[in-house]
Order: sequence, then structure tokens, then C-alpha cells
Amino acid sequence: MDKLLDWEQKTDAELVKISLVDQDNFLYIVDRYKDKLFNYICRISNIDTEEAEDLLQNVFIKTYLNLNEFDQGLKFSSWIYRITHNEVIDNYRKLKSRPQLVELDLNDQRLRTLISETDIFQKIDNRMARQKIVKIINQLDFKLKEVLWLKFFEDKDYHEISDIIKKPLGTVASRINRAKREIKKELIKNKIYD
Amino acid sequence: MINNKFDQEILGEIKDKKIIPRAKWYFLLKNSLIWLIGALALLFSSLSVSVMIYLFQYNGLDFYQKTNKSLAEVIILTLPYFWLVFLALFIFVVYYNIKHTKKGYRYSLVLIIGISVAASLVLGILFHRIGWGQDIDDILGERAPLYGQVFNRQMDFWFEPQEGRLTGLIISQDEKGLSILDLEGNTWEVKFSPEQDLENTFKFIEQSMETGMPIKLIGQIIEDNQFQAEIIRPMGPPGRRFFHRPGMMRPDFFQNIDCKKNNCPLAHPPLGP
Repeated sequence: MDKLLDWEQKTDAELVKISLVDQDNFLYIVDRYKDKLFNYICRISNIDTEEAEDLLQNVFIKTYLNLNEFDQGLKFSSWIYRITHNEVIDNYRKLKSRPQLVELDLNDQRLRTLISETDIFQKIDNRMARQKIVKIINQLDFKLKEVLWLKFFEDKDYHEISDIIKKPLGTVASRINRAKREIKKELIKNKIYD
Repeated sequence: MINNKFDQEILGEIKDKKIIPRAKWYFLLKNSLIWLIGALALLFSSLSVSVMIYLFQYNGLDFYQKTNKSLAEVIILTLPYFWLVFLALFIFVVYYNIKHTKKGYRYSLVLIIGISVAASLVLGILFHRIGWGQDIDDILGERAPLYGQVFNRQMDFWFEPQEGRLTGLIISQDEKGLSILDLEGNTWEVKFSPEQDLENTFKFIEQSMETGMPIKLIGQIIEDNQFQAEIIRPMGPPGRRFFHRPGMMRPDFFQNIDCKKNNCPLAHPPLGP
């Protein structure tokens, strides 16, 4: 129990250090990130649980293999999300034609935040309309959906998103704005908002 | 949800496959290679700029009107396409490598390309001043196949006798005209045009032109291998080594020529500044 408390207090960088000394310690990193990364993979890649697990396993193996590449100038979470992003992209290329399986929780506060940022929240509050919004988000291009997810559902700031997807800040900002515009456009098209 | 054994499965895989983290030197080497290739690409793009500056200095655009072509046509015909493509290619390599450095992704395409082009220009000017542009042109002029078509299009542009442009080496000269050896090894008798300012031409010949010197002429063919020249100018340093190639400086063309100077240009054609 003491040991458990001890590793929970350690920073990511410290966990990396002790993982390099003893591979069993890598489990602490796995434990800290597996749920977050699993959700991230599921939300943006539209694959089933089993496949997401396989993909996540590859992510952790690659993380372990490249532990010495981790740069202290970067947040560890950004680095491991980047590895996940790359893995999802590789997988996405193979699975592009797969049907959408993602479902967002309609009552999720973060979804409400996103809607409010698209300047339509005041006019849309019924469940039917929000269901359509979820559908629209799921139909967005992968690049747009990913930055939306990172911004509104993972609470990453622009710098972290830039580090994860390895694009300049300007690109991150323009993708988020484009995603919001697309959502608004679709809402108008579907007569949910005018 | 993730299955309960997930953590152990990962550790099991790491142990089964005996996976160990890659050594630090691996990443150090990888990053160093990226920087090294980027720096080399910048060096090459700068060298291409230095050659272009060198070629541009002697472009002959100052009397393009006499060529019966518009300025745009002359520019299009003499643009150093090879060096422009070479520059673009290596700028792309610089961009690609910077993007693949640890923090390169943070910079936009426009910024990286802009800085790469600016750095190539600054270094290119510096290399030109050192004389590297000239050295590269000399080496290519002496050895490269398709030199006139690819590396120094001025050479090809000035060798169109049917269109009134001719270039070659002076193999003899007198008050009535010159004999020159063209790029294909043919000899031409060059007559001075009556419209030509003979006083200035002779002064020019006396002061500047030496046997064995590469020149360019504007005029017209009057008979087989006879050319009436309206304008005669030295060819300029770019391409000077081209005239050193075997076949260009054939000794039999020059053996009967009396070299008036101690340092006979036929043996050592003037190389210019």
C-alpha cells in the first residue's frame, strides 16, 4: 500500500527514470495512462474495444522502446499522446472506411462547453438536437475531430495539442476554428440552428 | 473497458520479446544526422545561389535589343533552370529536416522556407565573394556533359548562328576581321560590318581581345562559315573552362599562329577576373 502511494506521488519524469532502471516499474506508467489513452483512441479512431486494446498495447510497447527519447522539455503526457496519435494515424489509414461507432454522452458537460463555444448553445438545448450535434461531430474529418477531442474532452491547451499532433500553433487554432464552423454549417443545413 | 490483465500482458510482452529501451546514443545519432543532412542541404542550396549570382553577373542583358529578341525571351532562354531546381530541391530537404528535428514541427512552412531561402541567399552571396560560384562553374565547364544546355544556358543561347548569335575562340585577327573556332570545332571567318563603329571595335580588339580568347558576336551569316559581325564582346568568365575541353583547343588550329606575347593565350587562355 505504501509503495502504491509512493508511485502515485511521483512525477511522470521520475517514473520514466525508474522504468529505465527496472522494467517492472513501467507498469506504473501503464496504469497512469491506460484509461485516458484508451478513451482517446476510442473517441477519435472509431474502432471496437478489442482493436483499441491492441492499439494501446502497441502504444505502450513503443513508449517503452523509446523511453530514452523522452525529452524533459516536453510534458510526458504530450509525448505519450503523440505516440498514441501516430499509432492511431497509422491504424486510421487502414480503417478509413469503417463505420462510425463513437458515441458521446449527451449530458457531458464538455460537450456543452463545445456547443457553447460554437455560439449556438443558447438556441439548442433539446436532446434531439444535441443527438444531431454528436452525429455531426462524429462525421467530421479525422484531423478536426481529433483537435476538438483534445481541446474539449481532454482539456489540453493549444501548446499541448501542438506537441501531440506535431503541428504549429496556428494550424491547431485554425483546425479548431474550422471544426466549429463545420459544426455550425451542418446545424444550419439541418435546420437545427438559423 | 480495458481487461484486467492488460498491465500484465504488456509487461509479459516486453519480457517475452526481450524488449529493451533504445540507447540514448541512438536518438542522439538520429537527431545529429537530421541536423547534418539539413546543414548539408543548406550548403548545397547556397552553392547554387553563388553559381546563379556568378552567371547573372555576365548575363549580357545590357545589349539584348541587338539579339532581335525581347527581354522576356532572352530571360526565359537563359534562365539557369538547373540551378533553380537544384535550389528548390535542397530548400525542400532543409525544410524536411528542420520539420523532423525535435521542435521543428512548431514552425510553419512559410517561416521555415522563408528562413531557408534567406540563409541560402546570404551564404550564396558570401560563397560568391569567396569565388566558389566561379570554381563550380569552372569545374562543370571543363567536365560536365550538356554544360551549355543545362548548367550555363548562356553558352547555348550564344551559339545560334542562324539567329545571328555566335560564340567561339579567336584563332586569328587582322584589320578586316577575325577567325574564330565555334563550340563544335568549326572555323568561321568573321567580317566587320560596315555599320560597325570600326574605330571603337579596333580599339576594343587591340586593348581587350587576344588570340585564344572566347568571344560572342551578334550579326548574320553571309556565306558558309562566314559571319558578318555587328557587335563583338568577350564571352565573360562563365563557361571559360568549357573552351579548355579537348577538341576546343585543338593544337593544329593554333600551331602556325605567332604568339606576340610571352604568355601566349593559346596555351593558357585568359581566364578573366
